[in-house]
Amino acid sequence: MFDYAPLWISLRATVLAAVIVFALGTLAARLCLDIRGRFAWVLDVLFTLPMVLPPTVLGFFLLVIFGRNTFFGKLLSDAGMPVIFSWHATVIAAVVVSFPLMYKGAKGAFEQVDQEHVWAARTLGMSEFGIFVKVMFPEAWPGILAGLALSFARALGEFGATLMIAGNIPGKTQTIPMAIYFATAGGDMRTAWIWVAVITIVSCVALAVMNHFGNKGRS
Amino acid sequence: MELEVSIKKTLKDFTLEIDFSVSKGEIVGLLGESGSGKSMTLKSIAGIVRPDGGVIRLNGTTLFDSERKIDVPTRNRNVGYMFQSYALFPYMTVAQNVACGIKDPSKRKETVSRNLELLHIDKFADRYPRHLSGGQQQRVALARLLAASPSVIMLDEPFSALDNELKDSLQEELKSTLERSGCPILFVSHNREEVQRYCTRSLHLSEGRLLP
Repeated sequence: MFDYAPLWISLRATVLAAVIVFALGTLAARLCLDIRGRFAWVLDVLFTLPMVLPPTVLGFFLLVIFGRNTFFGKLLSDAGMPVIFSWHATVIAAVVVSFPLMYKGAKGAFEQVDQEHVWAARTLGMSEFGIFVKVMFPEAWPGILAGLALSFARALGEFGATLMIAGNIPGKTQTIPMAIYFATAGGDMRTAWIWVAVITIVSCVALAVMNHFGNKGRS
Repeated sequence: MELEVSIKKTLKDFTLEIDFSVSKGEIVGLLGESGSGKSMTLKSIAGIVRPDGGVIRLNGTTLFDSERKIDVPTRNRNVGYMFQSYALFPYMTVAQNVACGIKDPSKRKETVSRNLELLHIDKFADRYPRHLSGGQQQRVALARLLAASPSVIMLDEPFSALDNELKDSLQEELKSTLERSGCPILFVSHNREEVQRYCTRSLHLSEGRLLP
């Protein structure tokens, strides 16, 4: 019987990561619009760094942060939620690697919003929150969606950081990319082929769905 | 005096130094070449740009005073500003656009329909701005502005985006609508004839200063 567990583990990690990254990335992008000067530059570098660092480096940092030897890791472990080698680790790794794509996409989209619309809204007495929700968000939506599509794809394909903090525990933390790697390494080409096909189909479907909604938002 | 402006701002090519006032019910034309500081003056009053120094008062309330360090945010200034591009929100219907500036939710529906009727755009209520002509868009922008019941109305080149034929038919209508609003009105234009036709009085701006 073929073991479908990697599919469910991958989907769970990717969908949860996409939801978290959507909220965090959009908020971070909005926050950065208001900050000027050197601090803005530092934040931008910090938020973009996971995109340029090798995933193994990210995995290393995550191990340091969540490992059982640190205060934070110990706290979580004592609270009955050890992160390392748990399914939560697959989500955390996916969030970290896909965050910059969402952040960059949303920031670019917010910067494209017509400033006259924003100022017109202010002269009408709308609150900054109201302007964000009613004026900026709808105008930036296609760009935000593009960022979300890219981060979803990136989270689905995540391998390096996941291997370092979640490991390769079949039925628990083994995602599709992990299953492909270990099937190939073990010479099980049939299993590898199946997972390659599955991940390709899931990626295409996800991008098609988001393109559809992106076009709908425009027309 | 309803609106009092006395501001100074250093711009790239010259210094904007302007001092004037507009009373209730008066339509004052601000005339000048493009780049003479007209839009900058409107933007200072609206709080979109910050003057280097001076005072702006509206109905006795200080909106800006560099010495007393007062700079009321745009949101609380209650200024009606019609942008040259009209700046309608593209993802909202005409009715939603007009509803944006209405502060009292219980009067929202009634205020929207009253202003849509006033400007004869009630039949476009559910359309989006991009499906409207330039003249129709201008009426929506004006309806949105009036629905917010501003304390001052500022129009930045209101006819620059319209063709001549449409201008003539709109102008009379706009004039009577503005006169009924009963608040000080500033009308920016580079067209002398337009200003003479419309305004009770005109100010001529050149390189940031008012000509006598």
